[in-house]
Amino acid sequence: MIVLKRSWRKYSIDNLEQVMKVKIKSWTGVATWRWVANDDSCGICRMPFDGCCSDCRLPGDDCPLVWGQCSHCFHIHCIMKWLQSQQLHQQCPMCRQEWKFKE
Amino acid sequence: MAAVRTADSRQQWEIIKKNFCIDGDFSQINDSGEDLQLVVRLVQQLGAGQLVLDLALDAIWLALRQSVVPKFWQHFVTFEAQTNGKEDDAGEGSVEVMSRVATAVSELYDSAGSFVPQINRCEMLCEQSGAKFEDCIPGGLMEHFKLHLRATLHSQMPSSFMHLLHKFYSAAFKVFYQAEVGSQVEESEEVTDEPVPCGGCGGATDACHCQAITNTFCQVNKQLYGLDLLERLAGDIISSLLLSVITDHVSTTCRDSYDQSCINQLEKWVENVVVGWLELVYCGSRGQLSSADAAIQTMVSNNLNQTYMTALYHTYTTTRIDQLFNIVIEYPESQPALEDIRECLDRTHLRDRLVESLRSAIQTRLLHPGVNTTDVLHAYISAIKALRVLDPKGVLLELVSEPVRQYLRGREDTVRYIVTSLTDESCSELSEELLVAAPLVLDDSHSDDDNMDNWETWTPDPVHAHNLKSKSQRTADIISMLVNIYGSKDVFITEYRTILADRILSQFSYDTEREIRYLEHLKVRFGETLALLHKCEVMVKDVADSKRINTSINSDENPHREKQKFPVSAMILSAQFWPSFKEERLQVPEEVTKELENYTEAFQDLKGNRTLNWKPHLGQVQLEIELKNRTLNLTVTPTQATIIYHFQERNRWSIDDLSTMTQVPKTVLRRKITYWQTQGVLQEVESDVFVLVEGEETGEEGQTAAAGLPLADIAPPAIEEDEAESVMASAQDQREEELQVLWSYIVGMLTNLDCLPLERIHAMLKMFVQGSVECSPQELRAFLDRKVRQHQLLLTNGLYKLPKN
Amino acid sequence: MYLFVVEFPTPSVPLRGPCLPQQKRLQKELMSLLKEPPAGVTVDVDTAHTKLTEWVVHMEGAAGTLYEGEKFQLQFKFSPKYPFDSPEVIFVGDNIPVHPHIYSNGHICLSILTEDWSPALSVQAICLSIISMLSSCKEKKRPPDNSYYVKTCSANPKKTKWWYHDDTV
Repeated sequence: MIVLKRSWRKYSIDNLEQVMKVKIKSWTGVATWRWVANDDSCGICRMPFDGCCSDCRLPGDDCPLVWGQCSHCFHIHCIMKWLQSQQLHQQCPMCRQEWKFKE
Repeated sequence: MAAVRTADSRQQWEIIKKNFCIDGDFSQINDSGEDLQLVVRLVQQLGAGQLVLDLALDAIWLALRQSVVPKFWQHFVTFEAQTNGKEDDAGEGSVEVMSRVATAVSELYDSAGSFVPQINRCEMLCEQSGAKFEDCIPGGLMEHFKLHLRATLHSQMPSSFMHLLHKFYSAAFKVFYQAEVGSQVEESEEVTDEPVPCGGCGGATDACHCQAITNTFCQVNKQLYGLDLLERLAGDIISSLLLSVITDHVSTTCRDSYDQSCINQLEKWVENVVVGWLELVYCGSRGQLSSADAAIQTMVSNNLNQTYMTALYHTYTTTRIDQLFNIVIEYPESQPALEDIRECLDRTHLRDRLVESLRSAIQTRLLHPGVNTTDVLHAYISAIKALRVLDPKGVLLELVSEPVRQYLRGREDTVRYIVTSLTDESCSELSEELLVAAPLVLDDSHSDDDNMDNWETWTPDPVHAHNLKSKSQRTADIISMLVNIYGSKDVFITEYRTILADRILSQFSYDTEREIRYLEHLKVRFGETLALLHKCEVMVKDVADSKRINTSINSDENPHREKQKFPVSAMILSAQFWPSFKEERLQVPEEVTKELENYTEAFQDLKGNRTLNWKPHLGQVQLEIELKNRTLNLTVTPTQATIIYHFQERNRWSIDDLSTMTQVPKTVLRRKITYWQTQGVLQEVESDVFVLVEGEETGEEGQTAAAGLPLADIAPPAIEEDEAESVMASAQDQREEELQVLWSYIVGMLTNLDCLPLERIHAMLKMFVQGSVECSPQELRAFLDRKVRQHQLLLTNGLYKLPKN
Repeated sequence: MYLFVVEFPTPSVPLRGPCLPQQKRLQKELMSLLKEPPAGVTVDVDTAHTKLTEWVVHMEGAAGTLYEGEKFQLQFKFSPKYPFDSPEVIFVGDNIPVHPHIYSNGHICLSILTEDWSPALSVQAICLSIISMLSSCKEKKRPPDNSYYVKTCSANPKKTKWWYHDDTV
């Protein structure tokens, strides 16, 4: 009787890998978001892109970035303020090329 | 008469001697047969007034010294000899004492009375011959006689007399007290038929000799009073009996009950007992005071107010002081007791003792490692409330609670407990305090102390309030007091932020309503503009945003969903606004990596120009584990999921291999793997080697007994305790980070300006870091001093400077 | 004479206050100037800390130039519109550098201070420009219209309509 039991156990260990299956039913992960930009912070307000411009309280959707055709980017509120303050030329603050929004 | 006039000088002297008892024979004083007037005149003629007076008085004093007083004391000396060795205070003994004292006193009274004619004679001599006795003590010769009697008595008093006298008065007092108080008690008590010994004299009810005792007692008092001896001999005893009964009564009344005010009742009781007893002693029976001498009336009322009421307040207060710790803890039930104490404190000088005693009680009962932080906090809160009752100005509180604050400051989990209980509805005590819509009053904020608008109602601080904080801070509300343990809002909000982060990242509940509510309360209390609270707001908003993003990405219309093997959702955080995370590594299984990448792509499509950085070790995974004879449905952490996932490929892993595979450090891995051991899924077969456990029969150690349940659909267990540990860097570490930022500024300043005092550094930092880092002057000083100790800074003459290198 | 002396406590105000958007940037600039100043430039923290919108920067003439060993002070004033509006920058103090683009009242003829200003510029960038302007000078002399200009100009150089005649010096 005892002998029989032992041999059964041996058998079961040998076959373990075929037996257990781990099925992932759902996975909730944690991530931080960031802007895909050349720089870490805005050349106008000097605040990090992943934060918000100095006029805003909420980052992300509420304080988005915009890119110029020159490939420089700024908080949208910062560049708009700058462009509004310029009467003659609409230049990129970084490269002084004419500012055009990248489509 | 003729004999007086005609007698020769020798006879005349004999006559004088006889009439003034100069030879000490007082037996025939009343029947000398001579006309006193003539004798006095004779003395005058001889011009011997002074001489005769001196001799006559000397004879009296001698008689007192040699006969009257020794005879009086003899009663007690022999009594003492008889009762020596028999230590009994029982009724029989006191009866003996009663009669002995009565006999002695009455004999003394009589023999002293026998001198009265002689005194009168001498008095007359003084008047007529102008002779003077000693220094002419006011009150006349009679008073002088009493004085001598007292002095002589005292000079010969046997040592045991006071003890006996005490017995005498005790016995009488007991009878009195029984009658006085016993009568009050009887009304409420059931009358039993059992013969009980009399509470007054201790004799059987039918043989009660209370009345006899009282009678004897009154007679003795009357005689002693007549001799002016009552106050001198028994005054202390009379009052000590009262004082001790007051002490006993107060401590019985106050024992362990704090929920009723008893001071008024005690005052009445004291007045009743004191007046009753003094009446009995000085007037001979109850209710006689109003008809007694004015002198006695004044004496009784003075004693009552000055001695006995004071004793009451003193005893009451000291009794309560000994209980104060419990009284404080039992607030608010103990409110009545506290109000009593407050009243008594004003009439005694026990404030310092109260502070000292409570401080030491707190020290021994509260401030040691055996007490939970929650209990210390609870006691602190009770103390704040209770001591406010005692002293609305908060001076006592300040004095008593400083050590508690200091202690709490040293406990690492204090802030966490406070913040948790503030935002926990089950701990109503504090969460209700949070609802008080008032801004905090902090040590570092400047409030209306210098406000001159209310100068008319200004009151000075009590004298012992020196060196204390300003008035407004002492009377601040509970939460302010708690925050003031640290003196800074930032420490609190930093901790709140960490707790919030932990809550979000352990529960993964997307319901933010509760957090928003607390945040609103905190904003009211801590100030809308606090940068850290703003960060918390963003954190809560991240949760809401994540929910929306998840819904959008996992919706049926999203093409990304088609290739999905299992649903992935995410908590997407705005890194700038979250506290720093503990850095942990984890390589999740390939299958999972792919799914996370898919999610990232979907996110990029949704949010354009934004991408995700995963923190793979954080999250929540639902697993279904199929074993040979059972299926487990579990909710686990990504690390735990990854561990068990790899056991699909191999049933045996060493910690080393698994660590290489998952990139989780071995120490962490060992800790995490215990979860699967307790689930009975893994087993450590040799040191650091784990194998998969299949069926119930394999459990040699019996630890897999649970697996015996066939195909158990075990409910997801609460995530294991060690998983409850924070995923965030500790508040201390975070603070350290912030201070490090300040340090770089300070180095910049000192490089520029060579050396600066603390105030200037603080003022400049204020300018530079405005709105981002808060640092009180005190904290800054502590920080700079630490830098001095680390030799990174020099301090000379109050100026900080960088060391030259 | 005095009946009593009233001592007002120095308020110990926490490091916080109303924070204008503009201030955040100025704080950042001030700190970066403190931590990594360009060679020969030190910001006078003392003046800056009392009023964040007004700084004095000490400047040393660079070695190997006409101004070697000389010390100057530059005053910066920032309007509420900064950085969308350029700061007002003039030389102040005893020693105004003698330079063809610097007037004896301290006004500087430098295009980035007015029409070529960009919010991407900074105090640090201005300092570097001025150092480079000084360093490249070949002859110490005042601008030709100096005496007329100083008599007629506004105190604020930004009110001057500059005619940037020479970009090489």
